[in-house]
Formats: sequence, structure tokens, C-alpha cells
Amino acid sequence: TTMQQRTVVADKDNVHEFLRNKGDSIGLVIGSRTANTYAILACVPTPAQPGTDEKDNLQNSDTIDEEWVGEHARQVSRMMIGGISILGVYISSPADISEKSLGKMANLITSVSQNITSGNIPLLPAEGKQLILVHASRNKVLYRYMDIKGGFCKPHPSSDLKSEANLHQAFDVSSCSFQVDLAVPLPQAAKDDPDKVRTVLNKAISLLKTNLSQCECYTNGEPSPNAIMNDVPKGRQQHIVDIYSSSQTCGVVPEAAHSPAAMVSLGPGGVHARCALRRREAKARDVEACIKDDIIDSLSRRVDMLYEDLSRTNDLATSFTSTKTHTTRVLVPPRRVFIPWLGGLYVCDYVF
Amino acid sequence: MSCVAMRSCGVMPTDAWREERDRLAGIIPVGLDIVGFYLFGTDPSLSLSTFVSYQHVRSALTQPLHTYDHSADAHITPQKSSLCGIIIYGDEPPASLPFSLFTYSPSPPDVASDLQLVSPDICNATQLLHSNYNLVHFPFNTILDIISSPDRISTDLQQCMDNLSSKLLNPSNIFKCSSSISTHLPDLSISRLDVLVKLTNNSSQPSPAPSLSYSDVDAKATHITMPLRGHVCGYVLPSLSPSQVGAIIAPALLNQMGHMARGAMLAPKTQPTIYHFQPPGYGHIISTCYMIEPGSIAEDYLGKQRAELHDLLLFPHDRPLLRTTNAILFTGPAPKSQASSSSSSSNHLLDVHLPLPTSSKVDGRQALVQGSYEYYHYMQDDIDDRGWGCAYRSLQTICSWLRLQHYTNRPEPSHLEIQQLLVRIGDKPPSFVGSSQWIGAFELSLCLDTLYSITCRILNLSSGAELASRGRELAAHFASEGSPVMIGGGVLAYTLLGVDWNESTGAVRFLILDPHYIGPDQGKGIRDKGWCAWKGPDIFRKDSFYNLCMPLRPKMI
Repeated sequence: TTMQQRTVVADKDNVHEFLRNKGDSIGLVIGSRTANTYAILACVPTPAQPGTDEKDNLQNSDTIDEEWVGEHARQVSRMMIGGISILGVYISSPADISEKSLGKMANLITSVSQNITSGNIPLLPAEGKQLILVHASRNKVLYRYMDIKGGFCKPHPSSDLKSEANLHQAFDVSSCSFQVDLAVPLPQAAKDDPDKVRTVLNKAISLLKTNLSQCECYTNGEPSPNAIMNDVPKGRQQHIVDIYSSSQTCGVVPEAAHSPAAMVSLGPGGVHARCALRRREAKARDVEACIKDDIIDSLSRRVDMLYEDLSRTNDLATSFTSTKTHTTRVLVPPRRVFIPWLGGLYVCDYVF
Repeated sequence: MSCVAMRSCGVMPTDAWREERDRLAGIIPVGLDIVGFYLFGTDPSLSLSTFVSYQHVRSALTQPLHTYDHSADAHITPQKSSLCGIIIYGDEPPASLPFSLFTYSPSPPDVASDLQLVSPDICNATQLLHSNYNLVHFPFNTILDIISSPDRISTDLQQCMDNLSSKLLNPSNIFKCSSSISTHLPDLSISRLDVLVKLTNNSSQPSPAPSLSYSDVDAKATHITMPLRGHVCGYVLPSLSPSQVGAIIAPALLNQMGHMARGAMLAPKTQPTIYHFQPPGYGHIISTCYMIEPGSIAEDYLGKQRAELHDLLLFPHDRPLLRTTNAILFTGPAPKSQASSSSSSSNHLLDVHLPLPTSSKVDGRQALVQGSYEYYHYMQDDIDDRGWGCAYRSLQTICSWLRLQHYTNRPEPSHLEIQQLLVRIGDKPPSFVGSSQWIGAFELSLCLDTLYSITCRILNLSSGAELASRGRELAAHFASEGSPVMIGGGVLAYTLLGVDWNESTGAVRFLILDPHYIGPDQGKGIRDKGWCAWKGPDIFRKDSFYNLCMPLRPKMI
């Protein structure tokens, strides 16, 4: 079965013009995927590997390092806000190597797809992923669907890539600051074992995700989930989303830990979440789903990056061991900062 | 409006008074408060002035029942300017309590000079409550999730409850009131409070990013998680906004959560469940927290809890009032097409006698059936029992009364089931089943005993004329037992629902519910045509014997 074929459109300046002027280049395409459309907002070139020259990468397809591009994808993944994601890969090469080595392209796409995750939560449905391969050469900008299933990538025939001017201006950003305060007991088996602590934390974040899915959202003070998102109210830059839990439902009751040995807490603190959706296409319900996903993603990523940082400084083992004096050890995950991008949109980064 | 017995009177230490008040605060809804007290005892030195001279007593009585203030507070600020007080000497509490008012001041009052009579308005308190106030109910669902060690558990629990409660009633939450009804309380204006708890903080001063902390836990600590499904009630002025209602409910919420959590800690396999009751004739709602064992029948093991409550609330111990089946249920607003006349899910009319005039025709007093019953008569339920089924129908009416008083859940037996039962216990031969043979008061008493373990008093009268002189006995029956009576004679059977009796002249009239009626179940027609009506003693034939089956209330709660 073929996967759904959505309409694909790309920003005139940041994709078409960019590719025309770029020469040999390989990188990622970023944009928004909705039920009917791929809207490609920009191309992000993969930086050259240290000690190499960018041009060297594209003399022939053998020099393309799909693992390196995959790593690039992993890092860029973390910079995405809700609603925006890596849609695929672009390659700009006068030699038109993409046509000649589809197999290599398939490997490239597969490598990138494996790296587009958020924390431990895959961003795309498990049954099949679809990415876009944009290839430009000799003033033509084309694209293909690349369907990935069971580890194999199936390329589709090429089509012309439509362009639209100022595509990013069709998007509005919504934001919220979600108060998180999780306190999770650790059973005896998890004590002093950072990996087991990580498993327990993941479970708690997963429970938060389930409970969050039952919460109501008010957008700019109004509850209507089926309303189409209109323009951002005057005096604001973003739609403001508030999340409420009902007094009638308590969510999922966590399992009691058998003789808890320690406790790990995440919070109290605020998780800033943002998402960008196409104005007048998206409903408030879609904003709600995107923002909730972004909250969970961001929380998960912070824990990921904390673990990576502790690993790098060899502090991981000591950070989750018992203290003789029964004090509390406080670790500080990175906080999120938002960086303006493409005039009105954002990417983010995490800063220790 | 109601009287509550404190566990022991006299001089209790301050902590005990506070415990009593906390307990009371859990039972009495928000909006109501202690307005007075009564003292009852046999000690001649018991005096009003001595009693109120104890500081902690005055403090316990004058502070509002629903308050956040748990701090030990010896300083008394008279919150109420007056209390009702009455002191009674004797061996037995009297049936009714006259109240007198005295003005209260920080120094012990001079009782003699301050007595005044209470205005009649206070006696109509229930009516005032129902017409001037809304009943608000707030069902909530939250999770108790706590890690604590045995030595810290009560502090940690209190802390947890405080947090949960303030999270639920934070002013930045959204409060909504929607209309609600209860079939138990048809005349009351009821609304349900819902709260949307805000989980985001989008103010200009955002909170700092969350940190991850890791801490050891006491070796003796345990982790407890359980859902707390509670339900707070209160009487509030209709003019209040939903968030003001939330603020008023707050102390009751905290109190109830505390009760539930502490109850759950003491009995871990049970689930604390809140029930609300308003027994017939009682002035207001009372709330209780029963510890329910999931999967078992609550009524069986809650007997002790019910008995304690019956004592506390001065309820008689001869009728079920606080079983889970007595509980009030609240639902969403009724669709407009719902008929206003109350009838149960069956097609039998409920309490068909009620609209009849209550004034005595013999210058005496009416003594009526207490509680609800359903009207059973000929031809109902697709059974043609014309000419022989009247006593069966009367029995079914009595069984419906037992069910509606919550003595049983069993549905009323059919004619066939009644006959099969009498054969099974050996009273009738097997040919009785399927026949159109009559039954009498004796057979009724056998059935009631077998089915429900109910004892009946049988009255054998050799002539119908004797009934005219049995006014006192029948009035006493309705006053103490209040159950419908079957009158069966050589000719007919009737159901007796009450008597109108003049003590001095002996004149008596009978409220008869006639099971011989054939026709549609419409109350007005039935009453107008005399099928449920007051009749004089002349309806009983002098030349026939009559046997009365008078069921006695089982002494159970």
C-alpha cells in the first residue's frame, strides 16, 4: 500500500532561491506536515565534517556520509518547536547525483529518519514514515516521496516542487508555560542506578502525557476547540494557550512503589512550549495537540541532555547515588530558549 | 433545625471538643452552623452558667464550624452574638425541645435575666433554608500520592491535603456552576460546582525552569497512591458567583479530604466513599464517609458505622436511614418533558393518599403510614385476579413499603410466588399453586416472616363493629410502626393506611386503600371515586369477622 500523497509546497526564497544559488550542498528540509500538505519552510545545510571541504562531499555519491547527516538531523530535531519538524533531505548538485544513485539516497533518508526523534518518543507513526527528498540541479527543483517501512526505503517518481512566496507568514505561533511538578518514588532496584532512574522518569513523563491528553485547553481565554484559528489578537505576538484539568477527573493513578528507597522530582518549574501552525487551516484542537506534544518533547529532551552532559563529565554514576547525610541532590537540566527564525517563527535551543 | 449529640457532655478536654467539632464539620454541610446546645443529665448541680463558663466550651460553640483555623486558640472571640441554650433534667430526653435564647458575652452570662422566647421563624428554619438558599454540590476526583514514614504520616498527610485543596480552589482556576437535580429533593434548587484547575502560568513573570532532584527516603517509608473521590455539599445564597461558592466550600473540602485520607490510611484495603442523606422530615443534608470494601456488600459490615451515626444524630434505631441505598443521588438537569408527579420506575402509583386533606373530620388527630408505598390493585401486571386477589394485592403493597423503606431490595412477590411460598413452607397443599383461592391475615404474616423475617401482630375481631373501638390501638400502631395494615375479613380485604381518631370521644375514621379497583393508574380519579379515601366504621360488616395483619418494623438500621 502506498502512503498518502500530500501536496508539497516550498517557500520561494528560503528553498527555491536558496537552492538555485547554493551550488553543491546537502542538508535537511524543515517545515510543517499536516493531514493534506507538506509546507517546506527552509533548507538547512549540513555543515562540512571537520577537516573536509563541503564541495568534496558531492563529487559523487560515495562521499556522502549518511551517518553525519543523520547526526545533523538528530541535533536539529532538538531545535524544533511544535508543528515544525524535519521533513526530509535536500541535495543540490549540478552533477545530479541524486538521480543516478537512488540507492544512496534511500540510505540517506533512512539514516535521517532514524534520528528524528524527540527524547525517547518517536515523532512519526511507527507503521511507516514518509520523508521528502528535494533535489535541485540545473535550475530545476524537484522532489520525491520516500516511504520507509520495515527498514526499507521506497522512492517515488519525481515531481516539480511548487513554490509559494513568504510561506512562513501564513503561520501563527501559540505558546504556553506549563507548570510541571512530578515526584516519583524509586523502588529499591532503581536506587543508585542511573539507567533505571531514567526508565522510571520516562514512565512518569509518559503518565503525564496521558493525563495531559485529558486536559482542556483555552486559547486566548476561549474554550472552543473546533474554532478555526484566526489572527493573533491585537497587542500580542502569539496565541496564548492555558491548560486546565477538570475537578471531575483525576487522571491515571500511578502505581505505588514497593518500599521506596529514594525519590526523584522533576520540578516545580515552568516548561515553555510553542507551536506554529498555519493560520485559518488549523483548528484550536490542533494547536492543543501540538502544544501538549511540545511540552512532553521538551521535558523529555531536557532529561536526555542532562544525562548526556553528566555522561560526558563522568558524573552520571555519582549523581544518582545515595548520600550519607540524607540531603537532596539537585541537578539542573538545561533550560529552553527561543530564537526568532524566518520572521515570526522560532527555533529553540537548550542552554545549561 | 436539627440536634446532634456530642459524644459526652460535661467537661471534656479541649482536644476532645476539637475532635468532636471536626467530626461534626464533616457531617454538617457548609452554610449551616451550631446555633445552640442542650444539656441533658440527672446531676442537679448541672447549670447553664457553669457550663458556659468553661472557656473551651464557649470557644468550641462560638467559632464557625467550617473554618480553616486549626491552631490551638484559647482566646475567645464571640463570633455569634447569641446562642440558644436549654438545660433539661430527667431520666429520659423529652420528645421535643423548647428553646430559649440568651445573649452571650465573654463573661459568663446571667442566664435568668437574659432569657427570651425564640421567634417562630426559627421553627420554620427548614422552609427558610429551602426557599432562600441553593444547595451546591461539588463532586471531585483527585489522587492521594504520598511517601511518608510512620512517625511523620499525619503531618505529611495534612500537608498533602492542604496542597490538594489549595490547588483545587486556587482563585486563578475557572469555577462553573451548572444546574442539577435530585429525585430525592424535588423542591430544592440545586447546582453543581465544577472547577477547572489551571496548569499553566502565562503571566509576565514566568516560573523558572524545572530542576531534577534526587533524595533518599527513610527506610521505614511507604508509598501510598489512591484515588480520592469526594463530594462536598453546602447551602449558599443564590446571588454568589461560582468562585465565591468555591471559597465557601473550601474548609469543608479540606475537612472531607482529611477524613477520607485518614480513613484510608487506617483501613488500606477499603475505599473512602462519600454519601449524602436527608431522612424524611429531617431539616438538612448530612454527609458521611463510609469505608467501602470493593466487591463486597456494604450494608453488611457498615452496621457499626451506621449505629454510631444514629447515636450521634439522635436517630431511632428501628429504621434504616443511613444505608447506602438511602443515599441521595444527584444528576444533571432533567429534560423538560419529565412528568412532575413522582412515580417509581414501575407503573404503580406512589403514595396515592398524599393529596388528601390532612385535617381531622372527627376533631381528633390523623395517624398515617410513615414512608412511601406503591398502590397494588386488581388487574395490574397482566394478572386477572378479580374476585380473589385482593389480599395478595394488599400484601404486595406492604412489600413495596418494606422495599421503599430500604429494609429489602427484593422486588414484590407475584401471586404465583406467594402461592409457591405457602406451599413450600407447608401451609397449603400443592394444588394451591395456580388456583384462585383467597389468603388471609395469617397467610400474610407467614409470607412476611419467610421473605423478610418481619414479625406481624395479628388482631382477630369477631365482628366488623369492633373496629370502631380500636382507634387507640391503630393510632398507636401508625405512630410507632407506621407500616400499612391489611384488614381481611370473611368478605373482603383492604389496605389500611391510617386512622383519624379522637381520644376523648373515641370517634374514628379509616384511610382505606382499596385493592379491588380496576382502572387506569391515575391518582386523582382514584381518590375522587373513593378507591383511596377516608371512610367511617360503617364500611365494616357487623356480621363478619375481621383479621388484621399489622407488620412490625424490624429493629434494624
